Amino acid sequence: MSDRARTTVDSLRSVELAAVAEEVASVLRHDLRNKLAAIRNAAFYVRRRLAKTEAWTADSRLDEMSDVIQKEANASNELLNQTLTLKHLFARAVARIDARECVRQAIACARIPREPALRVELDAHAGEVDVDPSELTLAIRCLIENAAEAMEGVGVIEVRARSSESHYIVEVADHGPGIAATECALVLKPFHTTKKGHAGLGLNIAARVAQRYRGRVAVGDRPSGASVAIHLQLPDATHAL
Amino acid sequence: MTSVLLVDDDESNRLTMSALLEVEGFDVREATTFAEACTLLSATPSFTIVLTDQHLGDGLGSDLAPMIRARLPGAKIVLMSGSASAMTVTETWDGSFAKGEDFAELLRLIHSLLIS
Repeated sequence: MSDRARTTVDSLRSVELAAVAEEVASVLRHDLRNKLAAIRNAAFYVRRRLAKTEAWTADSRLDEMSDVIQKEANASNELLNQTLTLKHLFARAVARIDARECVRQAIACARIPREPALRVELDAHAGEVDVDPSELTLAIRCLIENAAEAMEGVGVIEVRARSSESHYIVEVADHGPGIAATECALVLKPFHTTKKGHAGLGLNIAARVAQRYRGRVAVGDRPSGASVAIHLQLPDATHAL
Repeated sequence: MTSVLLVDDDESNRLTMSALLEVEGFDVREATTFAEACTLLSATPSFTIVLTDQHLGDGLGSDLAPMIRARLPGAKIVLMSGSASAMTVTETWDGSFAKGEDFAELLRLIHSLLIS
């Protein structure tokens, strides 16, 4: 492997590590905030209902203990609010780039079975977006690997990329078993997976990257014959205000 | 009595939030899922305020907005979330509340929305 190729692989690996760490931290923060909110509200309710009762005034420690619950829950919430910086893992380098190059790069480095078992058909047009190319490459790679897993490594993945009005859209379609209507809202939920042995973070990482650059990931209209199409949409930089 | 629809899939949050709102004099109906919220909105179109968690097990709270706007044009929508990044107020809803903040803050928000 050449020095340049090795540098690219190392860079993508650090982006992937940062993305997984960010996703896990984000899920933990969200879930802990929910728990703390319930604790704070419950303590608030108890104090409010009991503060003027005989039992409350007879034991000053009830008031103190109530304060401890509130204070510690507040302090824990503050800890969660402190931004977790991942600069030691990955520093973003946002630039105006041709998104088509990220699509090509993502296909090249995706960890999927190769021909003849699995084939990737590409139809990509040029389009400018403002992103860190390593992150966009990772996001598209996640969509491709997700499609390959859905088809259990056999078949054809269709990747189309084009500008459409004010957006650049990358569409990854597979011919796997499809997604039930009731599952559509869940596929972007962290750690949600129907595949044994998988963490269920790929689509979520792609969605987080898209959101960072004012885009989105969603289940989209399927091309003829495909069972699922995931769309990654980003603002087209040439249409930016 | 001001009627509130509280949508949250977290049982503890729903229980405590509902109790606090009732003490404040609100008439609270609860929905535990996106689907249940849709059912209640279809059957009982009389809510003044809808408080919804963003990340419900079977959908996003913000995706309830079109149905609420269609059925209850005067209702106020408050989006709640444990994710600070999701708390940007848009035209889709009227206010947002970060879970973990003081309940008093939520009350202030609700009263300001009722006046507006």
